[in-house]
Amino acid sequence: MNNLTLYNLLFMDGQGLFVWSVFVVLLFVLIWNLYIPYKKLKQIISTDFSDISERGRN
Amino acid sequence: MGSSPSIFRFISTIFPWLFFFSILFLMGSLFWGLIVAPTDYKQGDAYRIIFIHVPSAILGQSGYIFMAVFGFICLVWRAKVAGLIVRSIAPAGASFTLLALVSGSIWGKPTWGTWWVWDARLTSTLILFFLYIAIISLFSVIESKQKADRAGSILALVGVVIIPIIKKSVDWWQTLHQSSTFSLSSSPSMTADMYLPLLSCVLAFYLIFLVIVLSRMKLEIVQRERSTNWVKDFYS
Repeated sequence: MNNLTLYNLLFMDGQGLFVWSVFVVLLFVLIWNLYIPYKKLKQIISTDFSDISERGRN
Repeated sequence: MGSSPSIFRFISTIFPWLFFFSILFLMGSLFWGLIVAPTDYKQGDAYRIIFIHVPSAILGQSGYIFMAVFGFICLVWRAKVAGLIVRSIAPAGASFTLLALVSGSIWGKPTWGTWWVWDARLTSTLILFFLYIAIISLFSVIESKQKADRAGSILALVGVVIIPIIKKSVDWWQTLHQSSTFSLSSSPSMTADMYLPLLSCVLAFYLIFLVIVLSRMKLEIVQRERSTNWVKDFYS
């Protein structure tokens, strides 16, 4: 991929800013929706079940 | 409807596979739409926003329909799992409705020359977003999970009337918004090299929506049943 192709891909005749900003919003929505439940579940596991898993290991 | 332990184990088994498959499918579909698909002769490259805007709008609406269906099951058969599903769909549906509003607004600037108009389609979609927010608020305000599930289900059922209004808004009123991209009764107005990546994006969004809902369901089950032996056994 040469520089001109990359430039056209990103700039899109001046409309790239609109297209890629929507893409960034999508990424934010996906990361937020996938990370929040994962983080909360990890938190519960570490607070409620850490002593249980320690006992299980011993 | 299955019990919480069996649903939890089923989600835990399929989740990693579904997660990676849906991420790969979404990346492929977006690459097809945002980079490979041809440029539109009228709108130029700005039309590529359709590959994110239309799937997110479809998900916002169908997420609400799913919520109403499971809300009905929760109210009539008092199925706890149905209430749990309603609770898990609400934040994901709200996020995709917000994404549809934001992406539509960003698309509006280069095509309509404005970020926002109080157009029937846009306003009804904004009402849908507020309905989602109201349901999420009910879930967080009411302490008893069962009561909150029932209250959220009632609002989901009552609010479902907004879906046909959104769908028909472009036919009933004169709007800036274009008519529906997908229709069961007529052939697509786009060529196959634009329509197929759009269809692929819609399927990929459905899959990622399922992944989000399943991850929230898993969290919700653990939160509700953290004191039970089967949860303790699972994490020991």
